[in-house]
Amino acid sequence: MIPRLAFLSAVKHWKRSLVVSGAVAVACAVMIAIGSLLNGITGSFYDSVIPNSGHIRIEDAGMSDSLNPLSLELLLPDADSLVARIKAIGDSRIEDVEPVLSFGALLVEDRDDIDPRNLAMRGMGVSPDTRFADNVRFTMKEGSFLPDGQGIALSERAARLVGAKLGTGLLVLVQDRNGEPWYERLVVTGLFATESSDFDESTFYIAESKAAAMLDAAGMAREIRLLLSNRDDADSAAKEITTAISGKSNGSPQAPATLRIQTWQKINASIFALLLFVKILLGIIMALFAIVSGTIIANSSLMSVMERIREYGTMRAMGLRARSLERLILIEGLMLGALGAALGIGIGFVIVAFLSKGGIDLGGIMESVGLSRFNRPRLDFWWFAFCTVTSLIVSLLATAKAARSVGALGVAESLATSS
Amino acid sequence: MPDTGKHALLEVRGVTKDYRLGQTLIRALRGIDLSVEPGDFVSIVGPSGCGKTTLLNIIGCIDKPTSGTVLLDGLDVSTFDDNREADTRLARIGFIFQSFNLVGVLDVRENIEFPLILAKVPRAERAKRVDRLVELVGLGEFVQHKPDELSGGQRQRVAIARALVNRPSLIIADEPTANLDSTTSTTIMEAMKALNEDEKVTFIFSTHNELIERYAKRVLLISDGVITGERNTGGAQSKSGSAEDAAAMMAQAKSGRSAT
Repeated sequence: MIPRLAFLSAVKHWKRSLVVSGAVAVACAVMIAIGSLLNGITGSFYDSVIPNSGHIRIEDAGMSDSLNPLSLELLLPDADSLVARIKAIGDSRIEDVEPVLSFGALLVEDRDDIDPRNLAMRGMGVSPDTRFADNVRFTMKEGSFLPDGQGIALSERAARLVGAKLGTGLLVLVQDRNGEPWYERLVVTGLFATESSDFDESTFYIAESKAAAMLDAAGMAREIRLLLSNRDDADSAAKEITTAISGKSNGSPQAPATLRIQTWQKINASIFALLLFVKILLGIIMALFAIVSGTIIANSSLMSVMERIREYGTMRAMGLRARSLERLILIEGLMLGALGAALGIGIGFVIVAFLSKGGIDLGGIMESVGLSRFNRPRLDFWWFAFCTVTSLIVSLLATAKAARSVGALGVAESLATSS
Repeated sequence: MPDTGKHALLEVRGVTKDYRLGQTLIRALRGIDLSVEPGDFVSIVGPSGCGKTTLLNIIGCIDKPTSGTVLLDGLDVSTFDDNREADTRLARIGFIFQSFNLVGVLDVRENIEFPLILAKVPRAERAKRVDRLVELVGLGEFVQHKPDELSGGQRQRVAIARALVNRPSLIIADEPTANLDSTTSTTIMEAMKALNEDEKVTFIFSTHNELIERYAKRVLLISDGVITGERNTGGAQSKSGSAEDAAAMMAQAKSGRSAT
């Protein structure tokens, strides 16, 4: 009888029910949308940033203080032997070890012109069959990524800026390790387009062997990147590599003083800081929505209940206990909360589906830390479940106030109200 | 009162009730003593604000006295906690209110059935009792109607059926005819009287209508929170004494002569 009574009351006072369910639905939908947005940013980080940076990075210790991250004085001198030693460990957790040689270069339009177009960029010398650089390899628009180790891969945007097309030549000017200028004419073999305009305007790829030849840096690398089968193993794998490199087997291993070994958490500390900031910001927005919705639900429930005080007084006069009356009001609140949560899930699903089609342009702040400026919200079952449960809890808590207010009223007092 | 070994149905002893309204102390009841025997048909009469409703609320376990005792079937209900009060109301007391106080979202049958559900009476027994009462109050055609689809007289008949359904020892009616026209009031009072005489249901009702008070066997006069006198009328207005007659009379009111 009590659930039926709660249902009938909710139907009879349908306008008020609509306000309560609507508030729950909006709060639930906003929570789902914001949570999915956050999930999208985090997912983008794990999908693109880590595969680019690697799970472990080994570089010259001087890189930590260097103002010029492309200084040729801070290359690893024996990168090839270091790679060989790491591979010799035979750790099954390590999927790939690759030297990467980054450098500063000027791309110049290849034509007999008094004023050819040019663009200062960061060159990345990588293995043609690299396991990294996912954001480039999987966004090739024309050509392919360094076929047979030949040519240059740059973004469509950069190509436009220097007047290059697929198959045309491009001059790459560098200063080698001895300070001597050097240039090479490379054919554009691939054009990519990531979702970061900053990245597209600043980075091109050539084969690591070609870069080493141009820079007179054979066997050297800017850094060595490691890809692990499980990113959670980064700390323990880093320790094992440190031990192998330093030659120590007892005690706490330390990397040789000239090297810096970092896990993906340290490499991406700035991104984590940004993610934390974004999480806090979105958390505050969600909390505000929960508070506003909770207040709307509480007030609507209170008004709805206050309008029926005499009816409740009558039920208590008939012999309904105060606790049962509170349960009746809570069940009604729970029903409306469940309806609101169901609506909210539907609305949230539609919003997320719509936004994830085109993505949301979050601007340069994302690009500045290497994330795509376009965020595509991602759905997550557990987040859905969390939002549903939270909506129900907020509804219950908000209704509980109204229920307790009525339960605390005396029967005579309830019957004497003019409602 | 000498102890005869048999308890009165209701004994009210030295009951006072004070309210505080801001700084002002309002003394609604100033020491009420009364006794009601099973089968009584008692009217409490007095002007508005004299304490009738307060007294009925205290007798009906929906309010507590400031001092004094209320013995219902020998039990001092004035000391009961909320839950025992609720259980007592459910098992021993039926209420009829001036404004009918039906549950708006329930239909006639469900309104009458409500106390039985609270009392956890089995479904079959519930159906039997509700059917009988629906016939008794002449609302057989209206069982699926909601309260707002009924006239005032019909609503009050639903309230009477609801008050009777748990077979209480005592029915308290607070100005049951105040919102009804004179014809319907007469029908309702005749019905209550018939139930009292035929089913031995004990009624205490309040009124400030002289025509209505004449139905009572005993009339208690109350003024400024004190019982100032008592008249024994013997129920002079009674025309009939059977529940069947009550049903017939109430069925007459279906024709729409009643109004709110």
